[in-house]
Amino acid sequence: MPYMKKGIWLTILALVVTLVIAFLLRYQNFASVPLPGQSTDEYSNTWVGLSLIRLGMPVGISGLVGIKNYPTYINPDRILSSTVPGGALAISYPWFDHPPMMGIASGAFAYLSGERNFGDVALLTIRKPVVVLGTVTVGLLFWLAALWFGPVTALIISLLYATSPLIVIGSRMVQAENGLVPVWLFSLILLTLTQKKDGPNLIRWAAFFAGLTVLFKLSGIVAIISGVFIIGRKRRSLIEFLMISLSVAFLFVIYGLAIDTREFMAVFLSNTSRVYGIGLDAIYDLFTSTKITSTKYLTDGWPLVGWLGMIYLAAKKDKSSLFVLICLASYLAIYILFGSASYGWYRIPFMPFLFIAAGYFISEGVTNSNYLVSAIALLIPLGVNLSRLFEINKVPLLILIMRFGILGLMILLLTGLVWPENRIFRNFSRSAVILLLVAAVLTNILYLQKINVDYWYKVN
Amino acid sequence: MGFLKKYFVGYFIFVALFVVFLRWHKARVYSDVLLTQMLIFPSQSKDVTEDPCFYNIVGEPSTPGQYLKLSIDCRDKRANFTLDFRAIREKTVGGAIKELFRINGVTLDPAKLKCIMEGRSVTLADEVAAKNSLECRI
Repeated sequence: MPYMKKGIWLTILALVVTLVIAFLLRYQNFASVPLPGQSTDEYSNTWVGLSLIRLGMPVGISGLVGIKNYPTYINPDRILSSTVPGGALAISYPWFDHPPMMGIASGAFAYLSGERNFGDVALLTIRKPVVVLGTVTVGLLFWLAALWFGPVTALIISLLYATSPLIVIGSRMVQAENGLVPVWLFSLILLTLTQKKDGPNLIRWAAFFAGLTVLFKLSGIVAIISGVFIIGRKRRSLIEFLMISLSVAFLFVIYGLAIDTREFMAVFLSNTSRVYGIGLDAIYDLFTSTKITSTKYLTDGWPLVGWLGMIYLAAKKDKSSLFVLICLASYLAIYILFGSASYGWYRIPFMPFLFIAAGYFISEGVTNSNYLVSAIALLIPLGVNLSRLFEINKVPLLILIMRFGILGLMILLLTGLVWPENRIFRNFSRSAVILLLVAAVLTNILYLQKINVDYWYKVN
Repeated sequence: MGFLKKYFVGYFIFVALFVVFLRWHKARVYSDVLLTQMLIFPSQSKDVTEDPCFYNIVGEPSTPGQYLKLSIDCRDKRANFTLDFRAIREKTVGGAIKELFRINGVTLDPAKLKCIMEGRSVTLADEVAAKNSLECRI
């Protein structure tokens, strides 16, 4: 019993350290990387909330065809002198392009910080709550992963999610997806808890939060779809879940109709005929590229490990693996269905589940003697990080270590594979995987230290 | 199903209050003046300058035929701007200059500029049309 208690305390301590690392990495350069204006959605989301508070009507940037807009020059953070070429922004009101929840959160924070007009809104203010939200997401991911795969795997997953360069930089942006993800995760946590102990109230709260995700973005419908598949054939729970979640999601329609029925219907119709911008090669693009804004790609090996992990999970027959697959496949379907543009932030909702798959894949090497696949998987992000860290000064010694180190590692792991009863090889193999994991996380952090404004200009 | 009945009674009461609140809030606070102020008021925190050539506006508006070229000679340097003509509220020489100064946080009095448009001298009150080129100097 004291041993178990010690384990719990160690897990809590490790989680706290992970959360502190997650926060510090997100906070560093948070207002300057990505550059202000690389996504005008960040400002538009805040303007929607700010205008709802001050005018009782949402005002934002609209790119929808057939919707009246008023070209206006607004120059927060001097974006018109740097990242937003071409001039006037297409301001539309009432703005119903997306549900307003992220805007309300961000706009309320801006308002409380003393920002009143659109030109006042600064990333230095509005990204702060998103950085906190990103850190909370790491904690929620730990909770969900612990329920699905146990605390050790959950710690690995949350540590990877806390330090992955793509995730860290993506989770600084005021995008609706960064609000949608933690709410979806919380809904899944409650749903998982109902699997462990029968509690009708938990299902109801899970349904409420699943509906709430839609109020961040319509793609949040994925929380309802995944919830339905997770509940499965329990008829009564399913009816309650669907009725409550859909009724909460429907509040967006009520909100739109209450403010301006005609404009809401016009936007709704325009939304149905959006350009299909992600292209027919969207899935290939999703697997092979790691986009972060509308134009920038930040190469990161972890999502690819996640996709490989998904294949590994698909071969397993346990319930937790099925849950991960349900979430990933549901969002894939929504991503392909909506597919309006190939923006990096549309991919954010994949990430928690890709990292669960990646973390599980790797933890199998630490806990279940599946060393070879874990080591190969870890070499993907480790190699990417090292190549970015030493892209100018290619250290010959490092290349030598890499070449012969990998050769030696493969020989060690293969020997362990054909001689599984040998404890020495087993221990060496496990140590090698742990060492690779530590190296991969450390290089994540070192790579992030390098990504400042100067470096960001070079990212393409 | 007893819970769902109670839930939807509560839900419809909430929806009714929500609709009433949204309409009441909009009727109470909305005004065109406040909307315009929110859209165009210069930021309180933005650095201001007397030099109209200090900040630029990058790129060209992608609005064929709906632009206004504006260049300013600031003695030691020159700045060129292309504004989206539709975004200029007051379609006069002074209106265009004021809009540019508002965007870039320039505090210089537009009256200190001498401008020519399409080869002839103009005053701040003269009207501008789309595709015009305006050249000013301090």
